[in-house]
Amino acid sequence: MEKLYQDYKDIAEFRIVYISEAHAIDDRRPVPYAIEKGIKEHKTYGERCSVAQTLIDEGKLTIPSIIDKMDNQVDTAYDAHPNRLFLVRKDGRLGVAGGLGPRGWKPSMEQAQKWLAQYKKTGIEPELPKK
Amino acid sequence: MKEKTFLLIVSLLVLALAVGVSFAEETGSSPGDRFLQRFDEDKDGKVSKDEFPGRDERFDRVDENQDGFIEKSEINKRPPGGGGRPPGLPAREDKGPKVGDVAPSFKLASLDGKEEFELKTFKGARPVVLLFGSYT
Repeated sequence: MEKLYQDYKDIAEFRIVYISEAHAIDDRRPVPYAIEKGIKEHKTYGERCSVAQTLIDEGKLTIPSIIDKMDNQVDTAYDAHPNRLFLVRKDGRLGVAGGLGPRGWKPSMEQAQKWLAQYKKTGIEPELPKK
Repeated sequence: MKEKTFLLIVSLLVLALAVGVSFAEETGSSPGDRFLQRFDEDKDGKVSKDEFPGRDERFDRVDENQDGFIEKSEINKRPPGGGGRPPGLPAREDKGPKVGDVAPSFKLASLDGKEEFELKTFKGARPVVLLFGSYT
């Protein structure tokens, strides 16, 4: 994720959109490091920001992040939980809409990488598939 | 001699087949078998609402005959689940926008509170990569 940003931040905007936790300790299936660090689902915007900061610090991420509000409006609009990648073209349409969750993540990173590489090389955005 | 070799091969094949079949029986070859193995805690051959790991609405969808239990047959009738879900559970329906759709607009503050991010700021200028996720 950080590598994609470093490789293409000169030609594209990147934002981490921080949304609700996937496997916090109050979830049915918490991940081990959530238990270790006592990461709970955030009840306030401040809590959400502080866990987001933990992610940024531990991952040594330099990608700018924006934080979804507690009504999870943006998460819902993109049906993004637990994680998901989207690439928005200059015309405002989606050039890449990744699959849901961990399974969708890696293939969508590769799609985005391919898309950005072509754009960087040619200066022209890859065409949308014909409907 | 030739006959003996032939018999040996045939008997080995039969043995292999038998072992294969019994192994399949033991591990439970159908999705319904695996579902029961995982969730039927009291071993009564069906999964009650308490034993079921998912939400109640999902239970009701799978419990086709609405008798309050999920039977093996009800699982085997279902299309294979996706997304690493327990066998028999349907994949979640994707309500997100697709390639070619206009990206839903929004306005969110940055972590440091210094930026109000909006997609339209970059319209016509730069592509935007949105990485949705959380720490866990």
